[in-house]
Amino acid sequence: MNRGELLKLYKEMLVLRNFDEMCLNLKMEDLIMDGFHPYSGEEAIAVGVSSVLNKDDYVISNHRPQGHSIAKGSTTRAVFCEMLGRRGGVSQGIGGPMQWIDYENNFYCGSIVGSGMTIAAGVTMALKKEKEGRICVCYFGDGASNTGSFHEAMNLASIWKLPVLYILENNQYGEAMPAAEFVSVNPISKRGGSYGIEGITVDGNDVEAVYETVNTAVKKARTGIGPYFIECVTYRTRGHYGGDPEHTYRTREEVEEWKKKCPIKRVKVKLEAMGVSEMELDGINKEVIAGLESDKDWALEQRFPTLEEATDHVWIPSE
Amino acid sequence: MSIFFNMPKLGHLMEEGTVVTWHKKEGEIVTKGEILLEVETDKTTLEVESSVTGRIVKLLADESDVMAVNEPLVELEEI
Repeated sequence: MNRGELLKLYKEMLVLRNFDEMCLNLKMEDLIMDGFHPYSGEEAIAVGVSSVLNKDDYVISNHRPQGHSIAKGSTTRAVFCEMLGRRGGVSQGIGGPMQWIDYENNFYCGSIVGSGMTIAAGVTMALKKEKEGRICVCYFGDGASNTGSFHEAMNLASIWKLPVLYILENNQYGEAMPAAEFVSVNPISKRGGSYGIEGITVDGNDVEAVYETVNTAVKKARTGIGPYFIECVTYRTRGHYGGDPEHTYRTREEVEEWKKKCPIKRVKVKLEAMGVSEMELDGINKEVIAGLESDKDWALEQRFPTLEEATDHVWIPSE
Repeated sequence: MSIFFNMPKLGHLMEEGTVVTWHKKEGEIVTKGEILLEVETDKTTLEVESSVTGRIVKLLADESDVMAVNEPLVELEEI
């Protein structure tokens, strides 16, 4: 990747990291009223994947959706509002921090683990009939790979040759349980073989590796060669949720070891080797933080939905 | 200008927390992300990171004090 391309991804990852850290504080201040699941440490996946998607492609995400949504094109202002349950949010504040729709960006997420897998199969069944080369990415975690819908969806996607990319973010833990204790295979991508899908495992903390792998798969999926199952190996450097007593199930040393493999630091080192000054890179970070602070302040001034608005978009049959 | 660090909400149903141990003293500088104190909730004891950077003017709770969520715990001055 050249310097310009890498700088763009660097900045996008910084947006996700800073957004996440600000949300963690909002959660501690009791301003986010539902579960918030930090994405810190996993940014290379959302950014690498989205860099090869078009606006009219679909993304189905899970209970940790903020990075996926912003990388797909949702504005940080609208996602802040949604986190805070305010009008102006991607779903006008009636979705909350883990279930929203960004209609304009074809982005959908929900908090029921594994639920997106079969939805993505349905979406891509429609896209296949449409024959316009659009695809769908479905993000899920190591825990979700044990749900029934994972296996149903993989089989359907394979038998119908659907233009879908199942992106497994293996962040090593299903809540507080290490993946090695509950997933029967390692790498998890081996499970693709059971359904005739080629499973690929990639370093999920290397944004260029994610980009290369996904780019190849997306190009093929657009021409009807698919589906794909790509496992991105990563680590969430924050707890499962804001306030998670994470050190009861993993050691500080383990977290610190993974922080050394931080996807943002890795790109920073590479950019410095390409001749970009540390001052310029820190300047980008400051600019990102200033923009996010202003978006957050704006979001905090927006009103809450009214009780009547809570049933907007809900179909209530008349007698 | 004074800034305040308040009792964080560390669990969905948490309404108050007990200050277990201070990791910082009055007059010391704390930086964002540094462990500031340990808090016991109804579920567990957690190390709490500071969300702000500054010099500690006053610790507003003693060890074993029970404080409500969002009640000020530390007064700091910007550095």
